[in-house]
Amino acid sequence: MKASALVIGGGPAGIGAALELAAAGIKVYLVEKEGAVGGWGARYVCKATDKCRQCSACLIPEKIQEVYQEPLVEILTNTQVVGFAEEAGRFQVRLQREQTLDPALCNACGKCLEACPRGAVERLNPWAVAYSIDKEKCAVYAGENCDLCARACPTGAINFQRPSASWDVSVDLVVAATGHQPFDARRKYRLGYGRFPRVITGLELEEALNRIEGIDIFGDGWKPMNVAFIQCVGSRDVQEGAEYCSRVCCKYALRLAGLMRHREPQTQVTFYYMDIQTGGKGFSEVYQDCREHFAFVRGIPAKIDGSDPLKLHLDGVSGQSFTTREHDLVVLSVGITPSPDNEEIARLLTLNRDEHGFLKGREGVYVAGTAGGPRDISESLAHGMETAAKAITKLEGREG
Amino acid sequence: MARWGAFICDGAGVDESSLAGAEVVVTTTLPPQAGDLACKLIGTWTRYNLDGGILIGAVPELVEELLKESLRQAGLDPFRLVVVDLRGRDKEGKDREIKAALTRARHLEPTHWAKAKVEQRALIIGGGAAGLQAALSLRQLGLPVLIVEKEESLGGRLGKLDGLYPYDVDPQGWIKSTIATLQEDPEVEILTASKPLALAGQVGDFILEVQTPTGAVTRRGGAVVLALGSKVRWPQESGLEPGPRVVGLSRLDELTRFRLRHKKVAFLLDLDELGSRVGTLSALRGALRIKDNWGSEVHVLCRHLKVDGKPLESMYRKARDMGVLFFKYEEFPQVTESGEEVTLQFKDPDLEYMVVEEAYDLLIVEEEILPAGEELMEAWSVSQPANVRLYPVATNRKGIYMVGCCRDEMDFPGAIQDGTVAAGEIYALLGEGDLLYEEDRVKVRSEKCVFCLTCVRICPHGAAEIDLVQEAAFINPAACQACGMCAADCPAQAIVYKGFDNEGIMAQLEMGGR
Repeated sequence: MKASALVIGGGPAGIGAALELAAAGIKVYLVEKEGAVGGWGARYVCKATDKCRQCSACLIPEKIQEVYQEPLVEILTNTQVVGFAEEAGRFQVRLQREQTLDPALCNACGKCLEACPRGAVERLNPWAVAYSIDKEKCAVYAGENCDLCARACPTGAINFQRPSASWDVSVDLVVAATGHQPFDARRKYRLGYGRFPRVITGLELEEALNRIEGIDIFGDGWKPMNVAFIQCVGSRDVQEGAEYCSRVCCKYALRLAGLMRHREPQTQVTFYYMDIQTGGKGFSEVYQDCREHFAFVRGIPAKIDGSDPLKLHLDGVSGQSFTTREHDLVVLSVGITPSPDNEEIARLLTLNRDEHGFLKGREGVYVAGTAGGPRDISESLAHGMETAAKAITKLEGREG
Repeated sequence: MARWGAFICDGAGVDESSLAGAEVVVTTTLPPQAGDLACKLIGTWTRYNLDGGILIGAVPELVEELLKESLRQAGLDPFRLVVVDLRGRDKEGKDREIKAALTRARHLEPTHWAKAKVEQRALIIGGGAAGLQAALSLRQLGLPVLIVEKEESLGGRLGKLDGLYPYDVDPQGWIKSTIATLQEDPEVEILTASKPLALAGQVGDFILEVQTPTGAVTRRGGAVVLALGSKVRWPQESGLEPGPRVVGLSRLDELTRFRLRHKKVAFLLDLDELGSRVGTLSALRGALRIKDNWGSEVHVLCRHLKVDGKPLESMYRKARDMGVLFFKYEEFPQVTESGEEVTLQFKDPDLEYMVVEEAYDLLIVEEEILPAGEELMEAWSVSQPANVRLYPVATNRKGIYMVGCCRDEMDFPGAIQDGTVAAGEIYALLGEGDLLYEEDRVKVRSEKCVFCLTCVRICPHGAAEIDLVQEAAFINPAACQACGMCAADCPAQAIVYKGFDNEGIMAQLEMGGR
């Protein structure tokens, strides 16, 4: 089949879709706005204790390797879709590639990393073949004059004067696998995130445990002994307009707690929750282990005081009207929210959004992964594959 | 002397002097992003008349498969590639690794590839939603299918349910139209009231024997889809007995078809501590139906309300808006039956552990949902081990897939996703009409084999077979996934795994490689 496809987003769903399309002989442009493919999942830690906990984090590097080596997939990092037109069942897409850092020249030597005083140069994940520049931290994007990284680069890969490139591709189908945004915990002001350093998000704990081998998560020698996980932060929340369950938080929180205890058996953990979502293959075992070792308290704290230890205020929990509990670390299990780009993506690709703001696909333009609603890594991958299989079937039908 | 090509990944920090003195005739630096590298490299192998390659890099796995593919396309053995991983090595360490790899390379023996024609038909066992979707997608991709169904008609469990399902597609309508489409298709063979008896052969050419009402028949196919569905089990441990006042959740549709006069109905969920999403989905659906049809007072009792699926949270809110009351319990409720009533007594943690006592005239109990067809899977050595790599539908055996409720608890969209994904995988496997595999990667030296059957027992992929003529084990090359377990465990050392023979590995270790 001599067809071509555009896959927007290089997370598990996008990679899954790209691989499945390529397996059917379809040429794929895999467009990723960041400097490396892998998505959020590439930052997560393997949550195996003495046995595999089936968190699927290991699937990401495997799929990154596969997609890098698939000749029919052209990976375009630092690239975004800026124009879109439909003509006789085909799509004309304008792509724009930011070329400040040219990945073809970058050999990941690390000199730019050392040169940047703001920590704006980063390697997004261990499988990234090139570095990326974080525009929010970089002085140049803040309008200042700076070229420390460019001067440090021995291969000339960084050049702030290099203009971005744009070109058009013509494709038979489009898969929008544009992903999600983790809930911004600052919105829950009373829980103290952003104000108290020992209130962190589940995502930050993932990244910290991925970086280090013990549980010294702040890198200052301090070890949390008494950890609270607060579930449903930004999920099942009418106030936040998120009247849905994010599906992943119970799973990652319980597995992360298990991993912390595995690394430091003295760690005490308490979960504050509404309902634990125990469904899903292989998860019942994790839950039962957690029941044995950890405390479960039904109720979400209303407020946290920034004292040391942190003081959690609860209402109507365990038969008492008002109680307080103390913990030295609080982990907020932040949920999956629609990407803030969804409005723009929906406008560009003429897609609809559901009542929560997640994207809905249409004929020829499919939506895969968390762009369409909460999913975990393996579910996103499977959804990407399913979406591709559907698209291939449609295409075969059109030709046959 | 052998001729080797060295392929150094950009950023590996190796200069050519490390390769001095070896049989390396050409050195190429690979760019970091190498989408179309395979075709460009084919020429390199032939132009320099190379025997194999040495891949050197700090993250060599990013291009390893690509180089293997280019060897394959150049007609060479893809395993004539030695990978040198330099991650975290200093200059001296790098030199040592490269030297060791070159030593290993000298011991590599070529393997051969074979191509076999495949049967393109897929054999689908089970005609429920997942099996039907697999059939439908495979037909759209142009592959013929056989569906074997044990019941008189297709449709599975879902086909027996009444409407009211909060999905974009109405499952009952979908099942009817899908069955009609498949029945009209001459490339679809449907055997109902039939039972699979035996499965022989391997990927590309399976032979399935089926007991039909008119006698046993045999069909061949290149792939097998197990869509065996699920079965329900009454939760005996709870001490509850089924009766006129206490019924299982799976009987809900039978009941709600009648206009009964139950005034007060309770759903009791999560009997086994864990419960399932599908159980909660059925209960919410049932609660809404009972409200609509009977106007009864409805209570739902559970340990944890499962809301982690698309329609669950909105159904829960709808049920609450319609006046359904939800209670939580931690300790299992006390149940007393007296005449016309069932009484439940429990403590609700959300009500500050107040004791709640309510009498109902119908108690609907969640049953345990178990995968069906375990006997069949055992007989055919098929399993889906707890391995995320096999997610979602692959099994331990190449060419055999599992879809729907027989592999995990699943709702309708889940079953559809499974069927679609399995069809896509089968199309990638059989779509071309032939199967390419390594003929002699793993080989049994029959003169050394003492026929102990260790390999047959331990092979996780069902690839070790018995060759009665040779009186030796035989590793089926098409089904073999080159994991090496048989070679490692063979007590007589009769099984050779090319590329991992003792001599080569010892030579590499002696040179100080890891």
